Amino acid sequence: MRLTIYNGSPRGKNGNTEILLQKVVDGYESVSSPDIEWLQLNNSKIRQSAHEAFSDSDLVLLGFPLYTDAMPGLVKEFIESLAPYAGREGNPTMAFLVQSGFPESHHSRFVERYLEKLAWRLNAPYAGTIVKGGCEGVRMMSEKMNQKLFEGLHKLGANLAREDEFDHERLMSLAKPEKYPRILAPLFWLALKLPVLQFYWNSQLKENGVYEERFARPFKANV
Amino acid sequence: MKITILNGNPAEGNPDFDSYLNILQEQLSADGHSCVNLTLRELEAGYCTGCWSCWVKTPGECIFKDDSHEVCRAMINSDFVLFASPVIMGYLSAVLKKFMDKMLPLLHPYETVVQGEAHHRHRYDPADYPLGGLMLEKTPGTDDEDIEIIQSIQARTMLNLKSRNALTMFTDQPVEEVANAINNL
Repeated sequence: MRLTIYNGSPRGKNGNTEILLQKVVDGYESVSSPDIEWLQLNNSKIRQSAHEAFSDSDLVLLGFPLYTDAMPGLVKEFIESLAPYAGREGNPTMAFLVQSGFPESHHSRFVERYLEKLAWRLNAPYAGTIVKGGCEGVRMMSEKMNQKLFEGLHKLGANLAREDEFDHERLMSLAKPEKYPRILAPLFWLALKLPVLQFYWNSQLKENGVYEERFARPFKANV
Repeated sequence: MKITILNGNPAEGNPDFDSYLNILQEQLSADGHSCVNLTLRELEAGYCTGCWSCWVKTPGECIFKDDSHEVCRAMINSDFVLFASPVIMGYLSAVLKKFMDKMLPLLHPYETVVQGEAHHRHRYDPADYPLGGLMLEKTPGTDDEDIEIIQSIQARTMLNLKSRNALTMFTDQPVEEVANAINNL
């Protein structure tokens, strides 16, 4: 049994995607002991040959952060390298993980549909997509603050090992909040203005000495 | 109108796609528009690394001095931007997606609520963000569902860019028809 993990995060090993994928793999390994290979797609050399591991695998897990409402450009480059395997018999089962910084999962549902179609295009069994928002802070938060999320990912990993697919109910439950009810929009708006959220950006802007320039518009032609 | 065509054709091996856009550019210029056609594969830029310097170190610009600056400049100074690509594995080309990722500096890190959802705040005047359009080449294996998926993702991208996808056209349509649709925007 060969399991290949593709980390499609441009931040590679230092990003949030790596942490989330690791929790899924831990869950998988609590049930079964596959030969596991990790491939970091942000490394251009690895990216160019990463498709070779695809055809040798029984299961692949591709994770990435949501970039401009879809997969990062470098993940698209990798997907294009899979074109020769489209429709082939014996392709591995495909599982996906899409995480984003937006609080709601809704933003990632559009690319999720693409991923399901991609598995179909490759004639690969589709195990499902883990979708989770609000992940920008994961790498900076304590194990305790991430506990619920990590447990959910662990269970999904175990679930994947047992059933060859993610449990739908568990996927939906982990993805919450999916979208805030419209009636709460004013409260939501206020919440996003809370100093605690802007502090994350403001502290970095100040540290870099560019807080006053934070609204800069460098590309606007002078009127 | 000021129009920018972002040619996301990855390969020299598909000259028909480039020719189509060249003819479209000529037609749009003849119709009185100021139209720029950027062949993205000839521009120098690496993939977005997710460093967020464009938000917290060099506000509004990618910290890497590459051609993404020119693409961002063209974008925010246009009235209409045509995202053009052959459909490859069911989506826009990697080279086009690379430059779309690099449009992040056009937004601000702060979030706000749009249509009941969290979205990044505008950096420029909301009226400065151009209308978007899609120009797709249906390659073998492209079906209606692929087009629908591309359009649904593009609608999200344009919503994040404080605008909307105003039209979707295909390279099997006559150039005049496409130019007319753009003239009528």
